[in-house]
Amino acid sequence: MTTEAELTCREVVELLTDYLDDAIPTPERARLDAHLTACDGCSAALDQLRETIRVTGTLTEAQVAGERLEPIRSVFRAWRSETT
Amino acid sequence: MDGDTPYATDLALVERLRAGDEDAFMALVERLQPSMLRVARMFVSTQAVAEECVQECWLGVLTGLGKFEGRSSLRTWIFRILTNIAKTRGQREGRSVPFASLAGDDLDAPSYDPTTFLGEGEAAAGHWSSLPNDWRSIPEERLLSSETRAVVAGVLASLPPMQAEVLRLRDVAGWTSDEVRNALDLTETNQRVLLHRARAKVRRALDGYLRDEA
Repeated sequence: MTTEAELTCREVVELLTDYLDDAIPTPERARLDAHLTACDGCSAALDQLRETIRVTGTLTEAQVAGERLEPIRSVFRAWRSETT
Repeated sequence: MDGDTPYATDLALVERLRAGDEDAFMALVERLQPSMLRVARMFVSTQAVAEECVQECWLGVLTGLGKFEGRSSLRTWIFRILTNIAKTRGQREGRSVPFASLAGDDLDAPSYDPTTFLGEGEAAAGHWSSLPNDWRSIPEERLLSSETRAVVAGVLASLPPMQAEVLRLRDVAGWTSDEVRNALDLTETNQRVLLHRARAKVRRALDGYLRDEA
């Protein structure tokens, strides 16, 4: 039974990034917490999001080849010789 | 972040740079370069121009080190210099890049298929019609396997550039939301919407891939 004040699951799943960033104002946060405690679907969705973040966090950035950084090393050395 | 001086480590690094520590500088360059090249490339026409922007940025960073006060993180400060340079350069090239072309035109799209929820007119409209898969039963080695990670990498490669970069900086590199929005000159709302959309697409792809295991 949905009252106007109650969040629907469809709304909750769009708030989960804000929720994990602690960017939800207090009154709404309390409603969201209550919903997540009571709703198996939304707590599974929150878990999916957390795991998505965790898997993404295991990726690594491809490095730029060392020789392509040499022009920047030259910038640094030129700067250093001017300032010291 | 450590208490009252969140960017104390950065101030220490700046001191080493000012003292001419080449190893410290090159380590920083190595860490930030891939992302800097991608960000510059969003605003200018070619990879070569993007590389020039990044080089100009590093010179600006070095000559401006005395102005860094630790009010933002060093990497945020560097990216602000970079986005200013790249945007100016893009404008000079007569290239105007609408925000939507970087951010994607799907920012309002729902995270889950709308049919996952009960429709209007039904009792409990907007609640789950079928519950999401429970990933908690997926073995850890499957979840973090190289195949699963390749799925994420594939989505990342297909995202609109600004969605991809926000996701990389937040979830791969571990930057805070404040750092990312300042670095990329985004509003707080846009940063979160971009992140949420990007994560939603990764989640959806993972769910499709992992479904057999759930």
